[in-house]
Amino acid sequence: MNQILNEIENKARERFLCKNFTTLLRSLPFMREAVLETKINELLFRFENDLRVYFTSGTTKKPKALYSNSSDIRNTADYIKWFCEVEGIAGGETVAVLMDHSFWAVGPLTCLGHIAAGNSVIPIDLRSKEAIAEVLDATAPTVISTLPSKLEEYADILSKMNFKILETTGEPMTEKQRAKLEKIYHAEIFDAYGLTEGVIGVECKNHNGYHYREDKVYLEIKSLKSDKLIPDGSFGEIVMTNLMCQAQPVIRYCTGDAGKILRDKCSCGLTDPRLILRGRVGKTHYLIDGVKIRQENMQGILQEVLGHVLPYKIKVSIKEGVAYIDLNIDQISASQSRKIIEKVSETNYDVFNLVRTNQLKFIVRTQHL
Amino acid sequence: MPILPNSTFYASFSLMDDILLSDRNIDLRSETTYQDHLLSSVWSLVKAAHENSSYYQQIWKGIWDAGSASWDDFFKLKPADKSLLENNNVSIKRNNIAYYFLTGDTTEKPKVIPVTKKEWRDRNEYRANCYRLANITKFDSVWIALPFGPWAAGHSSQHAFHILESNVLPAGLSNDQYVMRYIWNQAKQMNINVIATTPSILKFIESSIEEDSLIPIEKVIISGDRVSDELRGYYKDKYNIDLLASYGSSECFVGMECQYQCGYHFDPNQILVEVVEPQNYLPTELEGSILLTNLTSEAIPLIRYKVGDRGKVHYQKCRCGSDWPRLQWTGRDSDYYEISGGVNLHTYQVEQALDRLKLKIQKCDVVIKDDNGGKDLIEFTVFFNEKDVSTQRQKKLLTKEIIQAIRTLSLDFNDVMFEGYANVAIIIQAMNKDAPPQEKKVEIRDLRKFRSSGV
Repeated sequence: MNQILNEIENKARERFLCKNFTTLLRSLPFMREAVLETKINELLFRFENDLRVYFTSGTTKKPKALYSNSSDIRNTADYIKWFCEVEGIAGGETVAVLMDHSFWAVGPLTCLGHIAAGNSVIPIDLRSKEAIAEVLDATAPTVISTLPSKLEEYADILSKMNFKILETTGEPMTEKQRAKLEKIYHAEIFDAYGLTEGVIGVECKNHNGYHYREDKVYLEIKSLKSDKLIPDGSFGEIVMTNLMCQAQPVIRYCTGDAGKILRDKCSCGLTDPRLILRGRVGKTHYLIDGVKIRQENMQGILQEVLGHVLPYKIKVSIKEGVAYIDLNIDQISASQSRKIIEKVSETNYDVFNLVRTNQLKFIVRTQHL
Repeated sequence: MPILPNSTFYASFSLMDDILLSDRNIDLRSETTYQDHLLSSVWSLVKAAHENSSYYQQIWKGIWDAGSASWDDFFKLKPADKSLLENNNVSIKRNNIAYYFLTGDTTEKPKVIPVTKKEWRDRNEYRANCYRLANITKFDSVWIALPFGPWAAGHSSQHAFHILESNVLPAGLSNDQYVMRYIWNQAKQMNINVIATTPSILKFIESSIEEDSLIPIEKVIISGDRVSDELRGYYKDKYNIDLLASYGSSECFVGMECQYQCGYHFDPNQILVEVVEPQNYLPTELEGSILLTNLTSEAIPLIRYKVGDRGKVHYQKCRCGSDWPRLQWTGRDSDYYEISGGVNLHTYQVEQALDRLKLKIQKCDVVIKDDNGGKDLIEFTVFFNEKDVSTQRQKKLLTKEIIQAIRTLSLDFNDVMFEGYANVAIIIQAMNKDAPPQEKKVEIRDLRKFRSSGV
């Protein structure tokens, strides 16, 4: 079996990439998030032209800025066009893109990809349910592209539309959540996986991993414990090289997500490899609108405030568009409790913004000292 | 013969000359050929619209003549109005549409503006040419602080700035001063020297950055609304910033001011601007109602479209060197006010919304004031018969009903209320039953320091 897989791997690489590509690439160091936060990026904006800047949430309070030029955007839109083909909606569909359309990249890129595929798009970033309902009513979309949490939050108005397909991205989705949403909407979900640093892949009708094209994005899997690369078929940290972007090269970028690559032929007919995702490298708590807090950040905060990590449990629940972080912890003082909330709120810019807009609330269960 | 653009408009645009000459193999710089070309473009648009749009078939019923091909025949065509945007009057197949945008300024259901790929490209290229008049180049870095989402302005300006190869920070609206301050700090680090926004958002940005100064900004490209002389003077004196306004709407981008701020330059090859007498829609050389014909429109052809504005066209060559004529805006057919979030509030919208109340109102005074944090406070004082508002309970119920009615003013106004860009206050007042009938049921007064209105 391994021999067959190796043969397929070699053929795929020969087909898309020059033979020296992998050797050359592997001679380069891994890229960590911190690289994207450097001042070099701001200098880029000062001395280059034809750049568009989008942001991505960082591990610190400051979001990371990512720069693209027209060619990068065209290349990425062209790749999203291929996603539409895989989903079977390339042409003649009207797609409601219910996402942010400035500041974050995913909304505008989704629109451009669909337009390239011959679909019509309705960019929507409204929050009022009445307003969204009016827009949908006036435009009668056949497909919706949004985050799973939005499908849940707006289910009462969105489920009245007859969507052929639900396109999701930006947040992980459990099988239970997927089944629930497909039942509510009477439509099939096609999830896509990507980061602001690069769009990666999309599910086919088999929903067994994300197909990705190696001429657009090159993935490697490295060990979770070291920087050693591990063979296809084994789980490890996903390392991405974005071959579509030049303005701000993303080369061997450690995504912080865990997954494995499969190269066997999919029964959908595609020969492109598939990425099976297994979540974040560390435990991550997903809030709403794609915002997340990592367990390691939580532990760091507890260490900082309490001087040591007490036994604790965290549960995140979402009700009516508000995320609740329920922290159950052994005895701490009221001021320590306040301090923890304050520190968690400042984990990163997105979390901070959710708190400011009352979309994130905290419940601390403890025996106050 | 009515005033029409002439061939000299092309003189300063060599690129356009190249395109026109190579495309058709005719020299449009000859006066006769140019006029013939323009007339032929207009009539091919008109004939396609009549063939494919039931709206135009209906409004031109009785006057339509398939053999018409002259300017005189064109000026006899009944103008289109906002009802063109109702009932999905799309003239092309649905699968040719790239974007669906919405238009504000209307009541009840949102009006959808479908845009084809070709229209979108033409519109953005034209917009980019207009930005060139404002001396925007690839060396500029622009913060686009305009609505994105279902409104065309943010998306279209972003494409236009990209055509010019300018750097772009697309960071749309926020009602939160913290977020605005954050974006401002990012903008400063990126050497942003131009902001594309509306007057009210500019005011909000200024109040959000607190003690910091807008001095790094050299120009502000204003969309969506007129700019008062006071506002221009204020930003010029305080920060040496030039406010250069553009003119257009979701339906059509019309033109842009140059550095001399002497009207909106427009390209007569793209937009035919007619100034007509409002009674008979015949061309006038004086000030009158504006009708637009967008020669590149496809999905919903705009032909002699009443925009609800008044103006005058100047054809003398401008000091900036451009031969494009200039449209001087002189007023609006209906009163309106721009409020925080870049939304226009029209008197007729308030009238229509309040007509939906179960009880008849006697009068409504709307006062727009400056509120905390650079936002606007819109205070609706609604007068009812004494007997209808004698108890607190009646007042409470009416207040609730009025809030619901106001939410239906327009989709964008509802969004502004929901997102908290502007604050709204309702005051219920009793009016003596013997009081004389009011001449104007709704009156709006703007008490803000810097007004942004079309009154």
